[in-house]
Amino acid sequence: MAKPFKIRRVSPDDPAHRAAVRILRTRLREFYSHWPDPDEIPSPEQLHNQRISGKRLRYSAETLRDLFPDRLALMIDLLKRQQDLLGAIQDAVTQRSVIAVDLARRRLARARREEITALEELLATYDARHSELFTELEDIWRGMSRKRFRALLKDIVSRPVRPEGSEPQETTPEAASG
Amino acid sequence: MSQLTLLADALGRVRDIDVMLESLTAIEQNLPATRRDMIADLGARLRRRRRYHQRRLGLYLRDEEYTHLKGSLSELVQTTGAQIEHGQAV
Repeated sequence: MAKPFKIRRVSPDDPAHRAAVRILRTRLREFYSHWPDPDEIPSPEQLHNQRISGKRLRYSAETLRDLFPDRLALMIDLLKRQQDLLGAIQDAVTQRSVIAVDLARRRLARARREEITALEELLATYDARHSELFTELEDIWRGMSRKRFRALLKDIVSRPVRPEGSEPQETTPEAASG
Repeated sequence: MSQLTLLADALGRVRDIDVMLESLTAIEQNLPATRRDMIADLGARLRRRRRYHQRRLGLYLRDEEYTHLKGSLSELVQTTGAQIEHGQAV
């Protein structure tokens, strides 16, 4: 499992809104780091790492959403949808491997031809399911990887509600610089 | 942290089989009866494996290591909670 990106330049004395921006921007960068080119087929490890980083980003966003009234809902929903897909893909991969092992054992045990065929067909069902889910995931990831969309997410997590009278935040210039 | 990993692994092994049995049930519904009988054997093998992992999970939950983990987590929550209440950095 990939380690989380370290949150830099944050101290316990920082106001909550400033720390929130640092945390969410770092988690967003981490989330996008695992599958940089949506036209390339990711390895199972890349997908696993993206799923874990997506959880870190989503849970951080859920914890901090009060600082971003009405702004994080889109991102959280999208992350949830993507994670459901990644979870379903992971389940399909795990289950397929269980059946493949079972099939190998049944072959060794000289099981009936009909049973072997049934298990082979089951494997094919899982392959089809995996392919269907992966196509859906690719579509979502292509959309999420667009520069403008990513910039929008970065902009959203860079604009918390600041308490009245607090100093202006350093977020906008950094947000613009990418 | 390694204790949490142990717990997650023990739970995960049972959970993975639960999810798989659920998925198999859904697949079975679309199969002809003859094929369904063949898959039923796989379901029986999986349920046997689930019982094995469930027993191991039960053993872990009754083990001293788990009792110690619960104690450590409870202490951590209380210490951290007290620090927050007193306005200390966590």
